[in-house]
Amino acid sequence: MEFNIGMDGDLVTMDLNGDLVASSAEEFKSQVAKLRDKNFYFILMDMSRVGFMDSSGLGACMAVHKMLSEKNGMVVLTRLSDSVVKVLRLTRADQKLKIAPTKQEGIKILLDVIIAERKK
Amino acid sequence: MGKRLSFQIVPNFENVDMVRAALKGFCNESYRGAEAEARTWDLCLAATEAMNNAVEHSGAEQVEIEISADEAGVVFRIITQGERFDPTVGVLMPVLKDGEELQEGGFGLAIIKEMVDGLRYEYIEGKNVMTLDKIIIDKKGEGEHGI
Repeated sequence: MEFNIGMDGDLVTMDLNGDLVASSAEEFKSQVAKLRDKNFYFILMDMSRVGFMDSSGLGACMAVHKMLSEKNGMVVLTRLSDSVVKVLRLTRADQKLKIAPTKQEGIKILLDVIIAERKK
Repeated sequence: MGKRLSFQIVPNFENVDMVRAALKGFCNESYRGAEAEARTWDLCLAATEAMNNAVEHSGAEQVEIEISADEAGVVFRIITQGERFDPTVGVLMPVLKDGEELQEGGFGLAIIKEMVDGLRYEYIEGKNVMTLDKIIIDKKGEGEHGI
């Protein structure tokens, strides 16, 4: 799996390219953990090039969600393929994970949360 | 006339990816029509979950995989040596309650049940045999042949 990471202030965009499955799940979590350790807690995951995701990939998304929530951060998944949506719906994870249909909407959600966090 | 493919793999996740790629090609040749892509994906997901379970829990040194297809559908069979373990009994999708934290695991077997048309478990001569069936859909959108 390939990861392309962009940063703009506190906001990180991570483009995933490849299958999010058991063989790539640990690397995915590790990439996010590195960002968290550098105090980046707001991440937009562009999953338009994730063609296949299994329950290990789903588990990795959940782990990332937990990892960032513990720091009052957030992960937003965007541009999901039909197959990824199917796994999220089947497991009802779509009710727990933040999902945005477009990158622009995902960025807006994260920027609103970042602004709210700064006001605290 | 049916088609058949078999593997003996060391159980690791890289080999799971390899078998999934082979299964996808096999399904692409077998399923036709509007539902072909979805049915291929469903069986690939179920098979991946079954193989992941074997990697994580079987403790086996080798895993046997058999993929076959005929006019009725595609059959994926996974065989591991070891203690009897019937994954088809009492498997329910974990329910997330309000306010409950997300779980990282526990979805695999429930996903398998949802994705296939038939799921069978047998224990034969010290081997766990799990068989996943995905039937072929005819042009009217109905199964031509149940397995």
